[in-house]
Amino acid sequence: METVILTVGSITFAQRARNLLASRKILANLVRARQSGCSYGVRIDREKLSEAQEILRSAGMKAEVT
Amino acid sequence: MIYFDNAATTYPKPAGVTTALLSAGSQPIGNPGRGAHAAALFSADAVFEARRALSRLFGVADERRVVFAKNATEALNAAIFGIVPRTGCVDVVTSVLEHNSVLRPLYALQRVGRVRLHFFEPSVDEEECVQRFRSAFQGQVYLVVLTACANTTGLNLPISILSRVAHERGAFVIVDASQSAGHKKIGLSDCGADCICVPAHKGLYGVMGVGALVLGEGAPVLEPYLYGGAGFDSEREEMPCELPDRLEAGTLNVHGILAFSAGVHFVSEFGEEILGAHLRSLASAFREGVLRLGFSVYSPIESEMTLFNVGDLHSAEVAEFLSERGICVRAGLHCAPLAHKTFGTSSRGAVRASFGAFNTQEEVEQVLRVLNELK
Repeated sequence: METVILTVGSITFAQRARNLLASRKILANLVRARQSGCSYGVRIDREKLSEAQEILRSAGMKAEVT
Repeated sequence: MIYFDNAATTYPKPAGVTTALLSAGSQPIGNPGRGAHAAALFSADAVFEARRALSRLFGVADERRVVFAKNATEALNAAIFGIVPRTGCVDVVTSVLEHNSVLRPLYALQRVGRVRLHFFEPSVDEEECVQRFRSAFQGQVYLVVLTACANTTGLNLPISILSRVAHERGAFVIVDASQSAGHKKIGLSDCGADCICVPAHKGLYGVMGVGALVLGEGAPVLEPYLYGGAGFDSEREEMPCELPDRLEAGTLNVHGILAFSAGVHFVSEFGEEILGAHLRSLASAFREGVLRLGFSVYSPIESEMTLFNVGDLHSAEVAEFLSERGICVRAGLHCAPLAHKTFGTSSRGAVRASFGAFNTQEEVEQVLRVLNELK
């Protein structure tokens, strides 16, 4: 399964994102994002990327692919 | 030992809290919000669950609006210094019943010309209390800081009404719920405050070293009170914009937060109404007993603690007498000097008996028998 990391920000934001995605049946794991600096993100199945971004955007969360 | 000092800290703690604290010692408690390994994520999730439990208890939808501090004093300092603008001078209304954790930050701001303070004296009569509160609004009041329950007499202020009046006048409201949380429903929507500050170790039956600010949706963006690492966005010179990290610099007391979570669970299982009714029943019996002995009582009928004095004795003498007989109470000014000035007890203080979930009527009767020796 190919995965992608969505950068969210703080650990608490990442936890919220993970829980929100899980409630919509998208499995997400908490990870450190790969961008410069330090942020947290969620790793998801690449196939779920668009759906996940839409879910997080609707909840007011920015989620950028890194 | 008979422990009647629960307003200082509750004892004993529920079994779940002790278990949580002890088992934390053998669990993989990493530093949450720092690493992304199993140990860090384990504790991050535990802290998140604690935020969620508190958000449910205080009626906020977003657990990120629960900010941990080391105690209610730090939470109140963070709220007061965070809300008062960094420049200019604003009017602040507060009461004469406040604890020094409210008074001293406000005095510090007054000394440097950032606030003008307006005090009012709460009354047992609700209508009179509101009228006195309204009279304290002079100028364009920016902030109101109030205790929900006085830590001296246990007087409960009509916080929801006072908050409404404050908001009608355009003021923000910070509530010190140190003596209410856990035995009086004090959700943000119930009391109408913008921010509630609580300690873990009193009515929420957690341990010392943890407290929380709970921020309502209408709360302004708080300026940070403490600066340091937040675990992300390290390249920024400023603290993050996001809650809770903006107000949580440095490592959290994770072990204490786990215990806090267990305490909140204990309170949620019983419900604040049941716990509050138990405390009021004990306080009522004790108050009546003290009055029958002919001693002075300063607490109103509907309170969860009893403030009293014995004849002309200094309060410390009475407390020492009781302590020698295995009874724990608190004497003195209780960090609330203006309250004691109001009661006329500044010179000798007063004795406070404050009750908890595990106190009994038999203990109340036993202490009254001991106090009878002082007649």
